[in-house]
Amino acid sequence: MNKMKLEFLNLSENEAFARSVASAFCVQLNPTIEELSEIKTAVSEAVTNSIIHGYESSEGIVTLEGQICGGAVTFIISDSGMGIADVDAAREPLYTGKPDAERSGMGFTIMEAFMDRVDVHSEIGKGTVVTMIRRIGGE
Amino acid sequence: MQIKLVGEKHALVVYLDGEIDQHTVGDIKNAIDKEIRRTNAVNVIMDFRKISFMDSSGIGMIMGRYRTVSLLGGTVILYGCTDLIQRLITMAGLGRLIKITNNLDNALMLL
Ligand SMILES: Nc1ncnc2c1ncn2[C@@H]1O[C@H](COP(=O)(O)OP(=O)(O)OP(=O)(O)O)[C@@H](O)[C@H]1O
Ligand SMILES: [Mg+2]
Repeated sequence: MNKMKLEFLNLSENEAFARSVASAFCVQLNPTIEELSEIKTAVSEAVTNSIIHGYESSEGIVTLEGQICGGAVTFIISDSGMGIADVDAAREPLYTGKPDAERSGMGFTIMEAFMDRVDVHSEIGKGTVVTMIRRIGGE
Repeated sequence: MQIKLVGEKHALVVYLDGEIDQHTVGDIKNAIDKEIRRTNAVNVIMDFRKISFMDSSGIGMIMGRYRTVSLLGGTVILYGCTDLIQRLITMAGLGRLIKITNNLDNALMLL
């Protein structure tokens, strides 16, 4: 069992920082390069969403928590931003709330493809918590 | 990042490097769009050999450039992508729109 917690301002330069921390935290499970790249991408998606959708242009804190238990790693990415009105719609492939911003609407789809499990809890005006779990190595 | 014009193919070759995410994608979009306007190129070839990371922000960047050049009768071609980046592109359905190949010579031959 291991745990970590990181808090940072919603600046886009922190995306690379957060995914590097997530990847370094996983190393103790001896992941393959491929597993690490997939986890990094999934974490980057959730962190970017909190930064740009959670807070839009206002300042706020994004939290990245990591837990290792058995052979699995869990990341919890949270913000206290505006929240998501319809989580099921937001998770649909190609759905974006910002169609004029050249966003592909693939963030949640990528998280689901690269992690074993993705849970999203969101409340309007309160914020969003994304929990993602990935088992490392063979069964 | 460097951008070079291959005049006889009306193509820009964009030599990308580093990581493509929300933080870096704005400069990439601006640089490519500026060169498209300046040179009247209608094709964009992106060299991905030095891209070690890309997330959905990069998918949006590729989609946006494809939208621009397809209206001009051109296309977008990528080469040197990692397997993971190719999977992201396929997942987004971009594989049906743009072309992916393994080097610049082959990319130019597709035009
Ligand atoms: N943390 C969040 N706070 C508020 N809204 C969010 C949050 N995360 C996602 N959303 C909403 O869910 C939508 C879908 O998210 P998703 O990551 O799938 O696509 P996107 O961010 O719009 O585009 P892409 O990730 O491809 O650049 C977003 O457009 C936004 O409206
Ligand atoms: Mg997103």
